[in-house]
Amino acid sequence: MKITTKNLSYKNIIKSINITFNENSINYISGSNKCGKTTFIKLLSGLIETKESVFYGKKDLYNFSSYELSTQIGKVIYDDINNFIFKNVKDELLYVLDNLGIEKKEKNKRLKNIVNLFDLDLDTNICELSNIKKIELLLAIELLSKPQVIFLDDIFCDIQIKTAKEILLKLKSIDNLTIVIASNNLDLAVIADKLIILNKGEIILDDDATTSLTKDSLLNKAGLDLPFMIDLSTKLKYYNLLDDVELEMNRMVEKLWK
Amino acid sequence: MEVKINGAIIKSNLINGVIGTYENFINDIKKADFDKNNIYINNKRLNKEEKLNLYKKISIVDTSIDSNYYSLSVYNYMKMCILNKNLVIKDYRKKIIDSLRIVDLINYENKTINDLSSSEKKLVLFATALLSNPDIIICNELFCFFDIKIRKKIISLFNQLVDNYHKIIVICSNNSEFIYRYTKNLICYSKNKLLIQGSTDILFEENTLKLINNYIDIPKTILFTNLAREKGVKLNYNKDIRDLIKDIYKKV
Repeated sequence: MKITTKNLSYKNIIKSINITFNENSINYISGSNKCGKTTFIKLLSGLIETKESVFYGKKDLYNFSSYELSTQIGKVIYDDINNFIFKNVKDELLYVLDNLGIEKKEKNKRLKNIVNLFDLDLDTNICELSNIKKIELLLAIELLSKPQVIFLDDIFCDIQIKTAKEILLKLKSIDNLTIVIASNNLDLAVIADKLIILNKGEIILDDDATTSLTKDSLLNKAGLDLPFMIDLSTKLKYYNLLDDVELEMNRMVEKLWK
Repeated sequence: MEVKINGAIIKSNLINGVIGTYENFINDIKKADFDKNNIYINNKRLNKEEKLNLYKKISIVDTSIDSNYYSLSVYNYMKMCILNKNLVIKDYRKKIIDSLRIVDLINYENKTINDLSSSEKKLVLFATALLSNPDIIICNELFCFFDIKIRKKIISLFNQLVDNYHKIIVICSNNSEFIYRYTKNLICYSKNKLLIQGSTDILFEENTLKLINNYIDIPKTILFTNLAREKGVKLNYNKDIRDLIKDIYKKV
């Protein structure tokens, strides 16, 4: 579902933001600490209410029913990593499915699909899960209601980039799912469709990820670390050692030392 | 000073790093299972009483604040931690304000935890760890929420704690870039078992970790240097990308 904001503001944290997130896309929101990423996510997901500022398709988010808010919009935050109700994975997932009020056949189908997607072991004690598996379980819980949008607030922060990419690719494989990620680590942004940089509550950059990541001075000014290959490419380009940004390490070495 | 906990050696006067599946390392310290853990200081095995005294000097900076405490003010949260851990602090009110000042959270004592950003919550956890004036500070994924500015500040604070106060700092993280850049002594776990330990630079630069464990990321500056070396270009191992670029510039 396409999300649009019109002059979205909140206190002094978010200042008049106009932006569009396309359907079925991965959107990456980044910025230094306290730039307003989490507040922006809360506004977009309806956790903080605003009127006539956030639109899902043509519908104002303010007019969503509580059922629509909970089933169509998924939200995963890192702080929930230890907030599970039940002892094992199966009970946790069944509890969510029971609350959805769907038929048994559909319930079983959704459970099977989500278990396959994240390779979850239903009988495992949640306390014994690694952080990665806990994050996957949180995602599974949100995805059981088949949301059209999912917001991920800094959930990959203590996971290796390689693993985070694998999880993100699993999410990407789901049809009709718009993904919005907030993080101050740009390493993952390379697989996003769109990169948005916030600075003191304002958007200073809104472009496709590959183009945005080459704007090194702007990103550094926003207090962000560039991904290694982009940082290296842009600096080598500055010294006329490379013609363009190169994301593949092997190819870059080949180009430098033919 | 050298402290050996179940085989893992952490050293004073430098920043230690722990990488891999290290949950058991943290749990061993958290559970304070005195009888089970083998602890040595400078090769002298500690008895039960000595172990108890050592545990009082260890502080762990955890990954997140339990959301049950979100309604508390920062001051009340830190006071609660003092009471829960039975810490003996002469003027705890002053100590709370001082600890917050160290991590640059001035005038934050009356703010509610819920109103803090992710990075500020993490800084509160760090300030809480400093309350007991610990000799050993273990940070579990401390840097993942921080931007460059705060990260630099914390690292400079660590260096001061190590150089001026001889504290032992242990950074547990799976971000190999941070570990390679900021630590000198590395302890590596695989499947929660101690795999290898030694100088961070040697373990990464001699590709020991890559050879024995594919699950640990190798820092990108090292991967790049290795690729160049395979082509016969003698690049040096550099921790900072700016140094790497200077080296490339000289050798292209």
